[in-house]
Amino acid sequence: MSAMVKDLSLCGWRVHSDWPLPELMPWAGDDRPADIVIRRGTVPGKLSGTVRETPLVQVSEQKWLRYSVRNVADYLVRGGKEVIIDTAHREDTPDVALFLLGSVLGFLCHQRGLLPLHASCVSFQGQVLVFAGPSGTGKSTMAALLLEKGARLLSDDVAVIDVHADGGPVLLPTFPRQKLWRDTLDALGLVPGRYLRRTVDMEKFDRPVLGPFDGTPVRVDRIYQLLARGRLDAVRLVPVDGLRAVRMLYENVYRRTAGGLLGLSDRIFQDCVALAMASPPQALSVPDGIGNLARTGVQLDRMLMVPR
Amino acid sequence: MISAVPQANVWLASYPKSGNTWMRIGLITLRDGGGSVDLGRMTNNIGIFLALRHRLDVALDIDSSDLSAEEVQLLRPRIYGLIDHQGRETTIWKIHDCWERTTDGDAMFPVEETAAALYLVRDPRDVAASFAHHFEVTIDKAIDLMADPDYRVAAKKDSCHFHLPQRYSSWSGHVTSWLDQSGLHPTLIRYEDMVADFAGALRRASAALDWNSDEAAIQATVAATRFDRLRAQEQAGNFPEGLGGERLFFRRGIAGGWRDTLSASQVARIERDHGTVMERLGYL
Repeated sequence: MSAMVKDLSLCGWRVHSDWPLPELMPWAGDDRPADIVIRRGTVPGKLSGTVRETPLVQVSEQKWLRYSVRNVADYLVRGGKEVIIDTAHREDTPDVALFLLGSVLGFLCHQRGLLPLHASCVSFQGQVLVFAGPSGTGKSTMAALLLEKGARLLSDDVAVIDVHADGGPVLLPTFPRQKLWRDTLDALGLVPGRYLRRTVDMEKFDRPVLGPFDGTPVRVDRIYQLLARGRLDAVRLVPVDGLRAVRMLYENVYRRTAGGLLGLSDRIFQDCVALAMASPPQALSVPDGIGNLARTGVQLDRMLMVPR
Repeated sequence: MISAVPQANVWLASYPKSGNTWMRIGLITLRDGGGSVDLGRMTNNIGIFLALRHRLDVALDIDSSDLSAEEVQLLRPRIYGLIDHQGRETTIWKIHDCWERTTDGDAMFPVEETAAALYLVRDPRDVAASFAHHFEVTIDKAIDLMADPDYRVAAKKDSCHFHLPQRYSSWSGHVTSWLDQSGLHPTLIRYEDMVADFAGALRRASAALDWNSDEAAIQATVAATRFDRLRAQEQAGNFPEGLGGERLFFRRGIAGGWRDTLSASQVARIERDHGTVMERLGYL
């Protein structure tokens, strides 16, 4: 490990990383030892004692998790504390950090007993709003639109929830960066940062969010399940409760297949029950596409702020 | 009603605008014994769309939106053992992809994952008119796209669709990929035969699925899924998959409508582009 590398902050963890992660804020907390260590090394092609695997994931009896993204990197994730990156790429290749701060963050959360949701999260008019949904439903776009109206970004794409925090579920903010496609950037007049992939041809960019970023855990006020309906007249907000609420949250658990390989399905389900009871989700139907979403404007703002 | 079969996947494949949704509604109704159709409450476990991005992301623990179209294509054949079938013994998947192999040589729809395959086909002259209406392009543009062997959807490099990138190929290429190259020996059902004799088409589909559908259920299904009834439900706002605005998904439901829609030169272009396959299927 290089002594020159400054430690970083992610979800309130002190992160020591040999791999450069300019996306993360510097560590500004106490002098505790690193909670998570990330380093380059060799990851075996096959874990010894592998008990369960899918095409990209292997999980060993010790719950070590090996993750492979072809032509990018192999990652070994151990005990929620250590990540080894095995890659042929140089350290200025953004592709490696992209999957590290996506899937691998999800695996770390599962190993650490936290609930990662496939969601973007902002603080808007004093409320912490979580927008969950599969890729392509507009999570990041919704967050980007609200940032234009003065919201503060808490996390993009992966929202890490500590369901068992004292006083109820809290969100652990990740880092002040969005992943946005060219069409969204253009529609909002935003300047792209670096390409997220260098090894393939894709117009998807890092968008650093300027201004102060507060990594303090915050109570979750509202969870919205985004449903892209494709039509301008589609804006609708429907409360969900009971088993449907649990299921809705469960379907947004990030990396839940790997969570199952780690033997955590029951705990994930229980966490969804706890979260559904503390902060029941609402189904938010929105029109498909950035242009249509932007045109819903005031109507949408009002709807988001209606008391549940 | 669905019998146990060795494999869980049935492919309901077609080029777009060739009766896939109609057949899907027919099969849902038939499975339920031929009762009334409620398009707003279709249980959606027949004709489930396979190429949903979310399905692959969950199965493989990856964000496909962070992958190029080529990378996604390599992963698509690897999801089959991992799809959440939600308790179904058999899942009937709606597919518009052409049949093809990845650059690794893997079949997108492998024989070993296939319980049965149904392939629906429609006269490309009628497809062109319906395609233009559905996708809001001119008929000439539709004819261009139908002749493009590299025609893909949801494959833009600057934006993300909640469907995965899919290659349709040309209309002819689509037909021959499924009928000749797939090795799946699909049951071929022509849209025109669905129009002329939906009961007969349902019997053939039912047999391919190894269902034990009785004649009363077939006849009840035919009555419940009459085109005018489906369109009435759409017009009453009870079809979530509608196109929005004034355009109707259930537009005409006839065979041979191209005769009063396409110009002579448009007809000639389609027959020139696809004559060999049209002849083979009895359209020329």
